[in-house]
Amino acid sequence: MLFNSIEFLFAFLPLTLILTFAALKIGGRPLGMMVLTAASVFFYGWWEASSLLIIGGSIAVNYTIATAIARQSDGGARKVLLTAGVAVNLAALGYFKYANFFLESISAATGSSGPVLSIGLPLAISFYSFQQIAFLVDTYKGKVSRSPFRDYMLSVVFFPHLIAGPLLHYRDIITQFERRFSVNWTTISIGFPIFAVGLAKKVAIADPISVFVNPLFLKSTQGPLEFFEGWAAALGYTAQLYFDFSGYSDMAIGLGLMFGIALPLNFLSPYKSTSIIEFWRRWHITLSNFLRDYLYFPLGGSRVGVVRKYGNLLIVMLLGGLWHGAAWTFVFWGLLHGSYLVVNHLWRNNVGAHLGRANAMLAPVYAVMTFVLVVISWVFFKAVDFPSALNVLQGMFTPASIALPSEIPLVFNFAPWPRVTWGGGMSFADFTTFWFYAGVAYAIVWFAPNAAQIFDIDGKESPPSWIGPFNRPSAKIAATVGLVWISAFGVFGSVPSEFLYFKF
Amino acid sequence: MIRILTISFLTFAALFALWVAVLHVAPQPVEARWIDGIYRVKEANTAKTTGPKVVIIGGSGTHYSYAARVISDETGLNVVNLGSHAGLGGAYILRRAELSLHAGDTAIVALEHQLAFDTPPSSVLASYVMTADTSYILHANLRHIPSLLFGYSPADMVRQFAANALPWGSPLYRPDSVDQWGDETSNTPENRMPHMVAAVANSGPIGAAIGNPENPPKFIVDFATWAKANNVRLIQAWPVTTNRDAYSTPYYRAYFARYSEIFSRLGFAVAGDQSRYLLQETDMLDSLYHANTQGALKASKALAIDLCKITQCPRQPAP
Repeated sequence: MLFNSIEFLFAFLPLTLILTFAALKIGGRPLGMMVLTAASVFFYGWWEASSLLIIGGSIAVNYTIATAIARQSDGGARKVLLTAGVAVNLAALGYFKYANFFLESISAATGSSGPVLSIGLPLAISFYSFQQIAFLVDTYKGKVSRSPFRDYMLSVVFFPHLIAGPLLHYRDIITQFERRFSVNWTTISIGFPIFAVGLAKKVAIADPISVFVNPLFLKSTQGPLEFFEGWAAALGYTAQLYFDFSGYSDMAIGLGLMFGIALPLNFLSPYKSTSIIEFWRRWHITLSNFLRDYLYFPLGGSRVGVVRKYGNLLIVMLLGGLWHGAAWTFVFWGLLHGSYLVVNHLWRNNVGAHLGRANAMLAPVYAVMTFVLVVISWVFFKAVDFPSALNVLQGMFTPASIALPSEIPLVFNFAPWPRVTWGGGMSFADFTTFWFYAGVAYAIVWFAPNAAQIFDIDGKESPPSWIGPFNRPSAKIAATVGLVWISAFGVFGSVPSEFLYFKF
Repeated sequence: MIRILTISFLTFAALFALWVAVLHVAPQPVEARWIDGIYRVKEANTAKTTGPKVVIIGGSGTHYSYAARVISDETGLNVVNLGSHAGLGGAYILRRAELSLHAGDTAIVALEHQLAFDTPPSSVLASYVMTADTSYILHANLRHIPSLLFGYSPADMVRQFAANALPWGSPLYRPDSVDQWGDETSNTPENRMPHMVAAVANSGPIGAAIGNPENPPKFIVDFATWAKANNVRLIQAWPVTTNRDAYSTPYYRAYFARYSEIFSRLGFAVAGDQSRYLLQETDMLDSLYHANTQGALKASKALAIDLCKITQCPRQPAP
């Protein structure tokens, strides 16, 4: 069930809020948690009932192993159990997500036609597997003590974060269920405006942009794009992905708050970053934190030598790329970002540190460079294969032609410029509408405050509030209704579209 | 709580009123402008007709593929063509036709096959209703009202601003090419461009979802009920389409029988056999439902003959 679908907005969400409210009143926290768990399982099963057994099995196995780790006092046995637990999760992920990728890669390398398994990717397996590995590690390190199965299950299946995060630490969410779990007018009035911001980002910005982006990337499978098509594809997808995923994350945070639960922040205006290092502190923050805590640090982090440190960075980003999808384009995307990070660290330590005030003055240049590098990387993230990605990049940087719609000179009454191909690229309506939309999207990206700033959210347990001119109650309500109104066009006017990160 | 609901309602209402005002000031969407234009011409002509008339109702298939002038000449009946745009959907087309029908008139319904089912509002209908016929919302199915209100978005409006910046150079899809019978006159074989020929050649058979005649769409039932109450005679005619081999298969024969049964069960007389309304590709204009003038002549002569078999005609058409 999609957060932007009519059945979610007008049936599932109101019913779940009412039932949870009633359960909390009648049976207190235990009954409330049971109702919310049942609703979350229904939410998942509505979409993909066939995967319920897989997620159920995963939860049961991880809980059993974590309980065994917590009971065991012998360090060696604990380590064996942890290793087994992590291996089970990776094996499941490997089988469901990566089996065909490896088989195809072997076939491609050997030039043979190998077998292809008929395996469907269970919804959200990357997210819940990663989160449960973290739970096992935290249990092993003693950060988590034994927990009731009821609590553990809810921490995994809690519907606002189940499908695409934010990734949570068990201890962070369960302490909130113990202290703050409630449904009332206040929690709804706190959560709903943030949900509305996310909904508007998704249906009023990301989805309309995707109408232009998808055909361009499809065209790139046939040959190189021209200059404006190349940039429209890359910039369009850059905006689409941000508004889609950060919109989803805002919706998840808003939904969590409707139940009194503060989910961690996932985005902090990433495209305003002035370095790749900063970008990864602002983009998909919970994934970055997980990769750092459960992969980078265990590999030795930055406490090892310079060469190993950069090697670790490359490994972490490569695996981060592979986590996103079973394709070599994702691996390359991860490696590209790993390389960016290495160069960024080298520059920062060896050049930037010696530039003094000049370094601060270079911030706008750094910001532009960071943005362009990120845009280039998203081309590999979106393209179906390397030739398609290169076709987009060729259009952007070494175009065979610069094409403008042939109607432009007619509409604006000027003689066609030489060296421009008139016609053959985007149609007049697509060209003008896309660049108008992209202009609005990037004005929001670069000049508008982000949701965390608007609502003063810290991603922790303190309840959010509004800031600035929206702090007046009537202004808050009017702004929220405005977002709902603009979102209504996307909700009622078209078939709801999936969030991009759902396929990861 | 009451304060919040009041402010919410007022804000929503204000935004919506502002949006409707903008829609009526901004340039109309290109398709809506064409639909509005041809409806104006056709309804004005229909209003001028004196005495009982025969109104052919349908989408653009009717607009392009039947010639009311030919049927009038052949039968001696006062025939007008009220075909418009299939994107409006069957519910809208039939509801709109009620405005042109009076006691003693005959309604010939030739809905394209996809229109004989209850479907959600299309973007064409939403854009047309919001920019040209907002009052239709009061008559629409309650389930469809949100899609009508929000089916034409600010993003669509931006696109239409761009589309409207261009002068319309094609001889087709212009309201001024509709004649006094409501027929299209620009669909001549000379106006058929190579891409139109290719579009027809590449079109497969129509999608045939077998409907259930025992449970017909509510909008057809409502139209039949309205017609009976207003003494309007009902005839079902076949939407003209390009011939495909598949249509002679048992699957399609069963489909056509059911299509017809939907109407006959509601009291419609059926005009002829579907196979008489299949045209060759050379008779078509730009889609499998749009005939050129040559195809429209053939289909109209067939309808004239079939019409006079089930109704009294002042003149018998030539066989």
